[in-house]
Amino acid sequence: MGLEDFPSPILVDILSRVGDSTDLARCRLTCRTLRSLSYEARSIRLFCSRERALRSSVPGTVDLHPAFKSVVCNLASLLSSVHSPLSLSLAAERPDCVPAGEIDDGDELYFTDSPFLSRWIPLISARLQSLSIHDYWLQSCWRPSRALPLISIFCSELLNLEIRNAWLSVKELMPMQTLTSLNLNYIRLDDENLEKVNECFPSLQVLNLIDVGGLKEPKIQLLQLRTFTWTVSNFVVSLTVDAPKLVELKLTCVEPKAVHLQTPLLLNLDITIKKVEVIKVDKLHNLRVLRVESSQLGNLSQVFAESRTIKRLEMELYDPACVINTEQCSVSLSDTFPDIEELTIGEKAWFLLPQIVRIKGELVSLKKLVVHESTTELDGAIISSKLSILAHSHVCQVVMVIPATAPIEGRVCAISKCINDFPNIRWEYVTKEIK
Amino acid sequence: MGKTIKLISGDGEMFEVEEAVAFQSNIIKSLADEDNADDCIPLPRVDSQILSKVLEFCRKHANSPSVHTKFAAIPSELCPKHDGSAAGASSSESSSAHSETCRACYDAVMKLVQWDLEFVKVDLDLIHHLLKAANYLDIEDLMFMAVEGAANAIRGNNPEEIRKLFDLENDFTPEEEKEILKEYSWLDDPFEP
Repeated sequence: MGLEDFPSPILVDILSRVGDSTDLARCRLTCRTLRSLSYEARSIRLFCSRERALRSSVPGTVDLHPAFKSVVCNLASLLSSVHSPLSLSLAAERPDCVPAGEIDDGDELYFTDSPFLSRWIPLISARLQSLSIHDYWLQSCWRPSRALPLISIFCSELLNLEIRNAWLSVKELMPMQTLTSLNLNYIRLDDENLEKVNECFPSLQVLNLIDVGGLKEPKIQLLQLRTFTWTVSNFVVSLTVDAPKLVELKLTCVEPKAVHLQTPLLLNLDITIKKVEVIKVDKLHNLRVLRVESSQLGNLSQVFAESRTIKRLEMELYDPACVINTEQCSVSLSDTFPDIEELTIGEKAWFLLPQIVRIKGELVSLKKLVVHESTTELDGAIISSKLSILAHSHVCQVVMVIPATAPIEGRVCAISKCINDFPNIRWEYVTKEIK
Repeated sequence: MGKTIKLISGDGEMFEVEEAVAFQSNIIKSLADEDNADDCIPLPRVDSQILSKVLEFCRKHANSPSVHTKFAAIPSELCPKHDGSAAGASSSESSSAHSETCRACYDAVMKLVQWDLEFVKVDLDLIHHLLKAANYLDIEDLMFMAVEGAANAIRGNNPEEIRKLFDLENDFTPEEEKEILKEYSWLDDPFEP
């Protein structure tokens, strides 16, 4: 078995899959063929552990242990002579825990530093299709970076961009017409209403804004957007999503004053929201799957009540301590979601059923019920009485998700009571590990 | 048992498999399409030992979405794979042409990938043969997993070990070697030989 038996494209496939820059560097030392083919690897990952960064910052060792940033620049110059498309990912090891307020004024792991980026990005920008930078929060959190404008100038053909753990400025950000996927994770963004994001990334189809802070009245207005995951961890005045082609939305927030959704083609909505004063949702003609987690389950359900197309529904209570009156969490299923075929009830909602979370009415189309038990002390009688609310529906299948730590005897007892009380139902038990 | 295809290996052994299994190979599929009376397809470049391994893989993948499928999070009722009433979602459609599937399909593929990873945890010689066969027969998923098997063999090994694995000869001249080592030293930490 010799190298000549592998055509070059397959070798490039293998090298692309290897991906890690250290492994590729070792391949380069093996023979001529692998050396030249290694530069054509389509996907390369450079990872710097904290230990590696510290090693090269010891004075006098710069020959033995080149700084990681030099390694990146040198590699980029070697990669610049090849023309095939490239996905590059640069990552710093995450610190174990981030004590509040602590910063590191060093530079060796500060990857979104524009002088560093401008040294190597122009060398490979013609090849770059996908770029991912995971910065080191302790070194990046205390200074704004011009990484985004810089990338927008040099990498105008980029398709996918991901940046994590950084403070990003959008001043002089240029349009990136080809970008279809943007992932910002744990970012402080100086674009409080997302105006620059909308203006400069018009072709986005996939957007993930996870723990992006610095926002005030953010509004996403993107014509091509199909999938959007938005986690807002701090307070915002309002949240707006205006995306005519959006198919899937996952929105997690705490207590915005207002939420506005203009997403007529939405199929799949997952919304976690503790409380909101004003919520406006333009009619959802196609909504099939809805998950709602809130302290205002009752009110929120009304908002989606018009969508008669919903087939699968999941309900969960956000924070039982916030529930002031039971009307907040009272859902009349037969009025609001009469056509659902599958219903899932989350742990907290199930626990407080039927006292706080009330489900009124019969469901004609309901076929499958999934309930999440949180308690390890399973009581067959209690379970049975909760299920009796739904027993007169035509449910044929019930899935009970039970904590893995629930003792066997309790489980067996509860299960046999359920089977006795509801003989026409097909039961399924799934154990769930407690996180 | 649906319609079957007969395959003849390079060393003359005959394998009879269902169409769904054999048609994972785009080459076999096109050869079967143009063949008229004879449903016996000769594969002179694949011997029986390898062919049987390849068919084991294809059998496992026969009715699943390809690992290359893009997974949109559409509900399973709308997924062409699940929705029996969707017009045009015929079962003979190549699974790799299936561009959007649902979470349930995604879960099924992840399980399949676990099986595949075990399947390619074999000696490099076999991976080499699987790569050649996947390339020759044009079986996308087998190629994908065999590449993964080869990449996995490289990961974490030093150059000498990689040379041994792939039967490579160090064909650098002494000058080239010096240059590379210099390049290597400012690319990364020197490895412990």
